Amino acid sequence: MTDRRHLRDRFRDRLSEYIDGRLEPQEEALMEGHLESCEACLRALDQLEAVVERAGEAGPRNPATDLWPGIAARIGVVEDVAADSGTATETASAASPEPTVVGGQWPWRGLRTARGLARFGPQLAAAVALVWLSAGLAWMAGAGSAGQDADAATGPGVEFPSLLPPTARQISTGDDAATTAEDYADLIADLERALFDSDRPLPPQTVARIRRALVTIDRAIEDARAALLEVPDNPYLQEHMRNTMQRKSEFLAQAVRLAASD
Amino acid sequence: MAPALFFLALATLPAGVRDTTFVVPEGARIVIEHIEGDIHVTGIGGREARVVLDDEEGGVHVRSQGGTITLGARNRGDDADLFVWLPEDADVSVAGHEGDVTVSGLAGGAVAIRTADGDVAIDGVGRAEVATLDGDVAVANTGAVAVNVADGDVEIERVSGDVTIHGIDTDIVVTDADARAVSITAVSGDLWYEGAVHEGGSYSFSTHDGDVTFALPEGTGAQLSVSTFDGEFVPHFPVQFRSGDMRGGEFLVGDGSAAVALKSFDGDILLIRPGARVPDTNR
Repeated sequence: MTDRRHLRDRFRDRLSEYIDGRLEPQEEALMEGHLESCEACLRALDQLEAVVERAGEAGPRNPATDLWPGIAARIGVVEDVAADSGTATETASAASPEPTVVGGQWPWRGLRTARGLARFGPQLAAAVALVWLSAGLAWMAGAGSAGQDADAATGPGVEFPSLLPPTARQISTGDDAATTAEDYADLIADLERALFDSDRPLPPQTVARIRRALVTIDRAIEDARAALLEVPDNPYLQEHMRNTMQRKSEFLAQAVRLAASD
Repeated sequence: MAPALFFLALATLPAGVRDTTFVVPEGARIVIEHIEGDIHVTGIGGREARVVLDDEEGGVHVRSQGGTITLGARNRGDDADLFVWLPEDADVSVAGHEGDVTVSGLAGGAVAIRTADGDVAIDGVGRAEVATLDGDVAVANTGAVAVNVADGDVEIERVSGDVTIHGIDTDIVVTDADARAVSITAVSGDLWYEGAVHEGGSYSFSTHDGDVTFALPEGTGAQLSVSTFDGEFVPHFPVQFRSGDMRGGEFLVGDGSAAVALKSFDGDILLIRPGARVPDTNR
């Protein structure tokens, strides 16, 4: 990794705090100095401010009607949009029983622990929901990348027993795609509990390493969310978002297993 | 020696021994557990194995259960290095926490390494799997390779077999590879692949924040699927446009016999010929 990138990443990690005015005066001065010479961070700042601005504009409204048709089409939902009120009533098709969206109950209402989601308001949440719902979370049902099964890990000479909590195992190896974005949030919460709230605390330096990696992944997820807000129908972004979130759960599962080797 | 007698002998290994030898039956699995300190595993001819702990205070343990032989340090001191010599065809699992791990000369065997903190170097192994939180990984002269690393760079060279690498803060360089299936991802890091591209093969690369460089040999056909959000696709030789655009499109080279997917959210995608550039591995 280049020093330039490390430097850029260090500042980019703090952009949200900068926007919110939560940096110390000295940090703020450093940030502003850095922004004068780093186009990448400046672009990221512009992008982030635009996202926050849009989220603010969205207010408490339901997602814009130009966004929902894309979601509905992908998840096989027949929609009936009430144009004057901006509310919608949907009925799940037989081919796509999950997730069901009925009577204006927007699917992202179930999201609990996804970081930063609430901050960006319902439009961005709709974009996130689009990704997860359209995908049906198929990877959690066993379509994940090879060699990264979250339930069992078998080396050539020994089997490492699963240490994942039952919920995580169930989600990871379920036999259908009935999982939802809420399941993902549950999975992440379970894994983080298994990792950080264990009876056997991890060494501080290990915790620091894990958290550092999680910051990197969360930042990537935030980037993807912001991009999806701009281009919600971009298939690459949808896949990228899905894969990055998958990477987070896989990494946590890996960390749980590694922690067991202490 | 009959396996039963052999295992009985292991079970009676006296405490305090820090240098011991034993015979490894064919097909036995070796598990090495060493929490703190470097681990060095070397393949040797014959069926004899040797374990040495570089610590005058501690000792080694060797025990067996079923077809598995587990060995490691007993009463270990801080940073005591463990040296293990094994038959060349041994299948080995290494579980460490802090310390470097080196494995070499197990051409007929396979190795799986799990550690939290430390560099990993593997040379001359039949098949290799590595999972580590923090440390660089270097693999050379092996068959199939699978690496999972959180923070550390990965260098793979002269491998013959499928390559799967997943990193988080990770630059990944693969050179002189002969693989039909390659899957390489990072969250933050540059990716580089240079090696054989086989007809019917699948080569997939994805990073969130970094460049992707793929070297396609002359005379090799490939169907390229390129995706980037905030970067550019930069082919260094003519490719046939099929659909999309330079940020998300399908391109064809020759007969398109190999499937190549190159993706970077925030980085450029470079298509080059082998030798046209040299990866920067001194970062």
